[in-house]
Amino acid sequence: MENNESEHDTMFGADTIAQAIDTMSEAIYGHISDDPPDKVALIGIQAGGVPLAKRISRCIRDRFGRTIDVGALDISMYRDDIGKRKTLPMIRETTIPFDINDKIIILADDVLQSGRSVRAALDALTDFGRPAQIRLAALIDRGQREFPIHADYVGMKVSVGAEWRVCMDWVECSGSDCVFKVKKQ
Amino acid sequence: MDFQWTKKDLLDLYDLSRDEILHILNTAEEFKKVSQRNVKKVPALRGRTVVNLFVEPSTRTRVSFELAEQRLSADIINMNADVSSFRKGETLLDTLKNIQALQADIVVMRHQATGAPNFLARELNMGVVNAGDGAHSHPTQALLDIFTIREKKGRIEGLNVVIVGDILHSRVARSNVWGLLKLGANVTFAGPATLVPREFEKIGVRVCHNLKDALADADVVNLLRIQLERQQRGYFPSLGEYSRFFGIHPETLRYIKRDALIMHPGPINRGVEIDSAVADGPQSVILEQVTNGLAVRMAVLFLVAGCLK
Repeated sequence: MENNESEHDTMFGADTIAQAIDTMSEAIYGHISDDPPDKVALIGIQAGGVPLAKRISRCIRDRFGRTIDVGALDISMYRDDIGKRKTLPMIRETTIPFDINDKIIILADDVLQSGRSVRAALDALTDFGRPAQIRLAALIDRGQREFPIHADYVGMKVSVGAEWRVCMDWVECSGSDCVFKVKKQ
Repeated sequence: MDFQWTKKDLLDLYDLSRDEILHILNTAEEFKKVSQRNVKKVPALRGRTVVNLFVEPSTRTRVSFELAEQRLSADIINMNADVSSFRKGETLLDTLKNIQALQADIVVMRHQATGAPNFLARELNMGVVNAGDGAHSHPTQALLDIFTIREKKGRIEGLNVVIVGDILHSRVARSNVWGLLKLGANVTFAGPATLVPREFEKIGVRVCHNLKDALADADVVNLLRIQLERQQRGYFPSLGEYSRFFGIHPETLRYIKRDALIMHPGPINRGVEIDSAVADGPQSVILEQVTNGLAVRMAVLFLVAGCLK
């Protein structure tokens, strides 16, 4: 995805990622096991959060026999930096095939940093309805928050300098699971 | 997979690549969903100002753009030629530079002069969206037509699209043809010889002066409005005769494909180019075109706004 950039260091491979998703899924299930099955849904933030939401759903189904609906949310129309970015984000598909009113929604994103994507996602979600609760699951938390936003479920915490971008590849998108950092140009 | 939109203006489909056209259509699909929600508004253009400058009269295009702008949360200024300073002799460029000095971001313009938006786009930092210039171009109409065809048929490539009517004066036909050809459709222009110039054969369009021949394999029939004043200019003997030879009647449907789409950019002249039974019939997608126009215009404004510096 970012192969044209100068430095590209792998941080975690498939096994570590799978283990982190497993731990997150267990923690999520621990919180929702008493709720009725249709009370909870996962919504992934496009693009990297969608595979994460699907993996968590699959993991909870395989380990605990519980099915959780999965949706995908694109936040391009809700960003606060349109016109400030070098390039316009590409709008990807939003599909929320269930009513979010009064549900517990677990938002999923691959890398949590500033919190701005989550802020946009919260705005977007509230245009679809009024969930009972929204919780946040992030596979990677790299700190450096610019908004008062906190993840409820974190796969891995990493500490890298602001000159690095932390990115993710998913098997579903690029053929392999991998967390890597690239130096900003 | 990622596509980067880089144009601050939308002037014509002639200027766009196949991938750029597809990117607008794909973006519009997501904006169409916004209009189907309870909350039909997104903050994408919050804080941006859009000026609707309609130097030539328009109702449906202006309303569609205005609603698109509102649904994107933009601030809107509507200017009509009647009340503007054009009457006092100010040039178009001076008017626009004054608007630009007020920190407006995008101008949506309809103008009777061919190329007016192209000229302004070069001179202004604002984004320029062409809402129809002379008989030259009407890119958002063509995009919404192509969007509707793709939505209904699942593809554009290989489809036989027939555009019937006053091609000579039609910016809708001129914009559609570039988009359709770039996406691989087979395009036929049909109508009286006085209104369908043979020149279009040079760019790969089939020109046909017999409606039955034109429609034989049509997957899409797009009818253009016959402007009533054309009759006085002698392009055809009478509206009745035009309707008899080139209008679409219930009998016409017997010799076209049962799943062929009937389209019209509006406003329709019932009983001239199209009978009511056809316009309101099961093959007609005329009102869906209107719905899709809103989504396409939201997408265009969003993409253009994202490229302003």
